[in-house]
Amino acid sequence: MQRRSLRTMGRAACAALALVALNALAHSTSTAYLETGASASGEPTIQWRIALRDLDALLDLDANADSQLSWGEVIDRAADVSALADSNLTLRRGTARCTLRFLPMQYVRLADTGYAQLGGAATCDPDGVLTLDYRLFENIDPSHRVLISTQGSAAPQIAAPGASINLSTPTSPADTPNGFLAFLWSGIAHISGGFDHVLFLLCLLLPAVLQRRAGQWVARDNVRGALVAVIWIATAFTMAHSITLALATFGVIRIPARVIEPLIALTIVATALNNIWPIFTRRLALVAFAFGLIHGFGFAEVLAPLSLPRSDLAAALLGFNLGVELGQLAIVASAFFVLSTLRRWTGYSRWVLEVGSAMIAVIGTLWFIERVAGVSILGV
Amino acid sequence: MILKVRNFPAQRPEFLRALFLFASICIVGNAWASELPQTPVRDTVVETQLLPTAVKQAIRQLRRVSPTDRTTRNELSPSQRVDNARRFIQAGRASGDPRTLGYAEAALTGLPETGPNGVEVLVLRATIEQSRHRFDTAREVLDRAIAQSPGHVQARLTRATVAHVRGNLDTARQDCDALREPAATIAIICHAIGDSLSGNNARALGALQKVADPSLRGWALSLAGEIHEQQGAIEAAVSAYSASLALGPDLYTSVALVDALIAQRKWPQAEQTLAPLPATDAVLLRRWIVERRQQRDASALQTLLAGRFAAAQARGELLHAREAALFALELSDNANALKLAQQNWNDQREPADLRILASAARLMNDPTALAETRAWIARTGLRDVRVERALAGKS
Repeated sequence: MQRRSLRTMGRAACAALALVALNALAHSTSTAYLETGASASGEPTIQWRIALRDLDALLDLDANADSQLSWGEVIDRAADVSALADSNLTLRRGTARCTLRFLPMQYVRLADTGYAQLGGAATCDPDGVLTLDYRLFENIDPSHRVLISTQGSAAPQIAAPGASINLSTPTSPADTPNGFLAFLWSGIAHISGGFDHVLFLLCLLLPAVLQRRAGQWVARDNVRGALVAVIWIATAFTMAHSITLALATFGVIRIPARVIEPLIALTIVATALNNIWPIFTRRLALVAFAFGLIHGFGFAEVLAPLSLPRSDLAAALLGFNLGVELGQLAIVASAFFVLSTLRRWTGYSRWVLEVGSAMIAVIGTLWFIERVAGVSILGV
Repeated sequence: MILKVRNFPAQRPEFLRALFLFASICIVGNAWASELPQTPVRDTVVETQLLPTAVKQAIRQLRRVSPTDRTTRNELSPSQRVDNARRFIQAGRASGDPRTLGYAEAALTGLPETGPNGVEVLVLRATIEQSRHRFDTAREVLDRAIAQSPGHVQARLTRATVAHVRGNLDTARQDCDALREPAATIAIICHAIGDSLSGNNARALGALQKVADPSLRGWALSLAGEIHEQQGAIEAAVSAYSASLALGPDLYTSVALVDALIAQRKWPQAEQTLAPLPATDAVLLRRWIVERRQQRDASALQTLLAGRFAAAQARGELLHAREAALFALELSDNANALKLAQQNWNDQREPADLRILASAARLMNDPTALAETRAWIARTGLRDVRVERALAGKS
């Protein structure tokens, strides 16, 4: 799964502004984070964040012994990490042990330390008190601590290895399918962290607050016109990627990631260049639709490796897609606010549209090269 | 290539506003996105600070039951476990990584306090406690070790060190005396530390300059550097620290050197010294100060440090209250600085801690803390120009 993060993009963009991003090395006590909650059907869910340094100390993930971890080295040992979680995190309701199912590992940075995040849902007995036995680092690092927070509660509990923690019984918000909320969140996280999609959308939105008159870009007269244009573009993009996401998820059409990922980069370059030397100046929604089809296949790569049964798949797809839309809505709304405010500035077409697009085109090109050649240029 | 070169827009303020807006979005977005889960590409480097392979091997030996397979047993002999504990502690000294103390603690778990390895076990346990600033526990454990083996050099020296940190100079003197027989040079250094804490700076320096033992010379030079600083001779301190580091790396001495260079506003040298150091709270704090005092953007480091101090407090332990107090002082958050300086002073009572307390007390005009500082100087006889300057409101 190739996916560029907002962080990486933030670095690229901010470096262009000569704001040097920090890459300090982390050195602190061993602390894991565990968030508990409930799935839509009321089953307990957990989200466990463990420092990659700690995982490496336990499992020796550094396969090539170069004293640094690449994400590939981490996910190649995903089975061992799941086994570690399985044998060290025991959820029980009453006396019976719950069955934990884990989602694919993700990566998160906290206070500049790399963490692996493992989300999971549990199937438990219906009755009894929910407890967690936490055994990670038992007999290995007695100073390890886990901060346990329950969704909706204020202060986290601090527990040491070997502790049994009483988790207050989570309540069920609604009788929607199991795991729905988890996939909703995954969708939101994916669109906000998948900067290639955000960048593409932004690229389409840059000219949406303008209109073409006599070969010149001029500001749209009223906010409403700009808003309508933006809504059209966002809707077209949504419709298109929903279609291909569904097709790919149900296995109707599959396109390999090595083809789709460079294509996504190309859509960004093409859209950016179109902003500078316009070919399409109207009906940008059509462009959004056509390219949105390609992005949908990219989204599908997040769901594909889960190999969910078909019954779960529909709920997962719906949740994930809604999450993507929610995240997208937030991005479009804030971008619209900024762009519509700036649109009357006479430097807009030059400095925002053209220079902005030029920067995006450069990034898109670098992504294309990276994804074709399999090298990291913009990488952390 | 794609950029068309044109005239700079006339609406400069508006352009700058847009640029500022973009920069703000960048910074906020970066901080926000970094806390969101991501799925990076395979070759994205996600962690660069890993434990050395030898230490990881020792950790594998540590887990008597493997973390994934609870049936595997891997028992080591007591002396092998003591060796591993020592290896963990040494690795922690070099890297400043507090996790190694936990591994060391685990390696020693269940080992008897008597018998062939008993004293070693006790001394290593005390070292762990001391590193965690649990000085009272460390002292109690060392009392037990010394009761078993009165001439144990490491036990005596560690107990003297604990007493020095707590300002119990008379107790320390007894342990230094007891070192004269088994380790004469260490006894000299031990007494020199006591002298430097009680105003006999010149005598302490004279004794340290005579230390010729190559294995102790680096330590003596580092201590000499501190005394030079107490005397206000920063140039001499810098050369003593540098000479010490030339004999072998030491995190504590490197940080002391950086502080001296910061005091002299020698930014490039300070940066050069900081560059190879592991990112402990103390090192990050100095990196931030160096950036900030040069009027450079240090907001990312500041956020990181604030996050780390907050995370330590969330865990219920602020080990580096000294650094946290310095952080608050640098930010002119004086009320907080005084609170943290007092918290730190309850913990450790070295001249550096007194200087921080004095600075914060002066800035807040807190009569109790000022009186406490002066009473300490009167009781111990400490002579440190940095403390005196802080009391006079000159730093």
